[in-house]
Amino acid sequence: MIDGVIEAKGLTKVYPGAVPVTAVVGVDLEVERGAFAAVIGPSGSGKTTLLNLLGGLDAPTSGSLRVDGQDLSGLSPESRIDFRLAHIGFVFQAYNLVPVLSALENVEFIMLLQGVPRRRRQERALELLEAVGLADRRRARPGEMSGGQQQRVAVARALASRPGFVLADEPTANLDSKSAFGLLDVMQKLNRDEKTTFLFSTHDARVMERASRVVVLEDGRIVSDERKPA
Amino acid sequence: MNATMLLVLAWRNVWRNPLRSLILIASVVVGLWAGLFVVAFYQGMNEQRLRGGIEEVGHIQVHARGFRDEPRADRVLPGGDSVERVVRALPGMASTARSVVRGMLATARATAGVEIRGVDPAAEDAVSGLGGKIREGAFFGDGFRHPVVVGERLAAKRGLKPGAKLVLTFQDSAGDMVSGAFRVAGLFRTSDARFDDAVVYVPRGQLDALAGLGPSSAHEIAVRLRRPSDLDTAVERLRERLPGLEVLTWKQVSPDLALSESSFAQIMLVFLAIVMLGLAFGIVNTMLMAVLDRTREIGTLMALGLRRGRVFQMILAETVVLVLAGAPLGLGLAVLSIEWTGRRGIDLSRIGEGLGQFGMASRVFPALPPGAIGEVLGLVAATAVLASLLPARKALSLHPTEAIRST
Repeated sequence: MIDGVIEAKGLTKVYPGAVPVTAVVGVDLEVERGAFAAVIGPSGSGKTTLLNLLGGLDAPTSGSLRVDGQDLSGLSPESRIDFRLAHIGFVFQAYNLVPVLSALENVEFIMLLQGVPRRRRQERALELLEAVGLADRRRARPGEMSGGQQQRVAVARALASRPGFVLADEPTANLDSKSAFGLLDVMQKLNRDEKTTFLFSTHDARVMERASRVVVLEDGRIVSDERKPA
Repeated sequence: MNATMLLVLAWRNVWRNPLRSLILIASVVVGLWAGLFVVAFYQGMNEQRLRGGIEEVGHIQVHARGFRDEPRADRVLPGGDSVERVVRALPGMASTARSVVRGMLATARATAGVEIRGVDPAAEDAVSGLGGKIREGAFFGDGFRHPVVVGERLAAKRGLKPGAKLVLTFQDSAGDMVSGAFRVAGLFRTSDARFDDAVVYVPRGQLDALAGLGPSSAHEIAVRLRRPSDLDTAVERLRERLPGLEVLTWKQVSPDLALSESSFAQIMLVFLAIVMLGLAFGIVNTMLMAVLDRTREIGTLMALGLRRGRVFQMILAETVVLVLAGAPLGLGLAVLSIEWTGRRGIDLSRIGEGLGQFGMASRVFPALPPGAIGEVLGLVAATAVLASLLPARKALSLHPTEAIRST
C-alpha cells in the first residue's frame, strides 16, 4: 500500500461562465511520500488548474482530495489557507519572495505566521539556508541576489514548516542552465535528506529527467503516468 | 504574525517607493500644519473677540426688571447703592455701577445717536479696562469741568479731538429732554468698531444730575469675574441675593457673542473635515497604487498562508505608518509657527477696518485651544484608518491563483 501524501479521486474542475470551461476531468492521482514527481503537458492541458487544486489554492467542482490525510474538498477558503500554511510549501516560477525582507526573514515568514518562537524560527531558517548553500547571504534582500539564489531561498522558504509536500510551479523557467541544475541538485538533496515530497509542474526536460515519476496531462485528463525505475 | 513584524513590514513597504510616500507624507505635514494653524488662528480671533465683548458688557449685568426692554432714565436699580453693596460683598468679582441713557451727540458739524454711560473711572477701569484703551487725552482727568470720553472712530467721523466741545441731549427721568455741554477729555479705541462708534462716557454724578436722578443711582451694574469659569455659580448667588432684579450673563446680554463662541467649534469641525477629506483622497490613491503594484506579492502571501484578516491588517498598518510618519514634522511646524505668531501677533490691519465691524481686533494672536493637538491627531489617525478600507478591500478581493500569475 502506498503511503500517499496526495490522494485525488475523480477530481474535476469546471469554471462557470457563459460557456463553462472544463479544465480538469476525473483525475485520479496518488502521490506517495518522498516522491520527486513532475506533471507535464501542453498549454491548456489543465496542468495549472490541477496543481492549484492539489495545492488547496482552489476548490474542485467534484471529486475528492486528501492531502496529508486531510480531506480538502469540503474546506472553506479560510480553512484552506490554514491548511496550506501547515502542510504545503510553494515554489513559484517568478520566485515571489517578499522584496522588503532579507533571505533569512523570507524563510522565517511561514514560521512567523505559524507563531513559532523567534529562536526556533531563526535556527530552522538558518539550517535551511545552509542546506541550499546561502547561509552567507542571509541578510541580503531579493533585489541583491541572482535569480538562482532567489529561487533557492524560495525552496528554503517552502520547506520551513516541514510541509507534507512542496508544489513547484515551473521553478526553473526563469533560470539559466547552471542555476537550474544547481537548484535541481538542492531540491533532490532535500528530497532525500528531509524526505519531502516534490511535485513539479514543468516544461523543462532537465526536471523531467530528474523526476522519478512523470504524469502527462492532456485536455484535463491524465494520459500517461510513468514511474522510472529507482 | 505579531504586531512588531506587521509594523516592520509596514515601515519597509512604505519606503519601497520613496517619492510616492514622500508626497503623501508632505501632504500630511501640510494638512496637519494648516489644520492646527487655522484652528489656533480662529481660536485667537475668537478669544480676543470674546475678551473684548466681555469687557464691554461684563460677565454679568444687573438691571431693574424691564430696563433692557425699555431703557428709560427713571428705571434705576432700587435702594440707591444697596445693590452695589450686595454685589461688592461677594468675592471674586469687580463691579462698576453705571447710569445709562440713550441720546444724541451734537457738534457744530454733525449729530450722532449714542449710548451715554455715567461711570466712576476707577470702578469702570477695573471691569472694562477702559483706562488702558485711551489712545489720546485722558480718562476724564482734571482738565475739564464736564469731561467726556468718546470712541476714536466716532471722534474721527465728527472731527472731534481732545478739548473739542460737544452737546449731549437725552430724555431725563421726568421724560423731559435735557442737554449738557461737555469737552472731549480723551479718545478710546476697543476692538469693536461698532462700540467705539456708539458709546461715550461721562462722570456718573454729572449724568445723574442732568438726568434728574438721586445720588448713588445706577441703571446697571456690570460685573467682571476673576475666574470666568465661576459664571454659573456667581449668577446663582446674585439671583439669590437680588430677587426681583434682572441678573443676566454676558451670553444673555450679548447673544451674538454667545453665538460666536458656540459656532466656533462647529466651524472648525467643518474646516478640519474638509482638510481630512483632501488627505483621505491622497491616502486612498497612494495605497490603491501600492496594492495594485503588489498584486502578485499579496497573492503569494495568501497562497503561503496569510489569512485575509492579516492582509487587511498589513494594509491598515502601512497606511497608518505612512500617515503618522508625517505627523511629528507637521505637529512641530504647527507648534512653532503658532508659538511665534502667538507672541508677535498677525497684523491684519489691511483688512482691519472690516474686522472691527465684527468686533475683531486687527492684530490676531493665534492660540491653540486645550486638547486641540490630540483631537487633530486623532482625526488624522481616524482618516488614515478609514482611507485604508478601500485599498484593503481591493487587496482582499484578490484571488491567490490569479494574483500569483499577474505581472
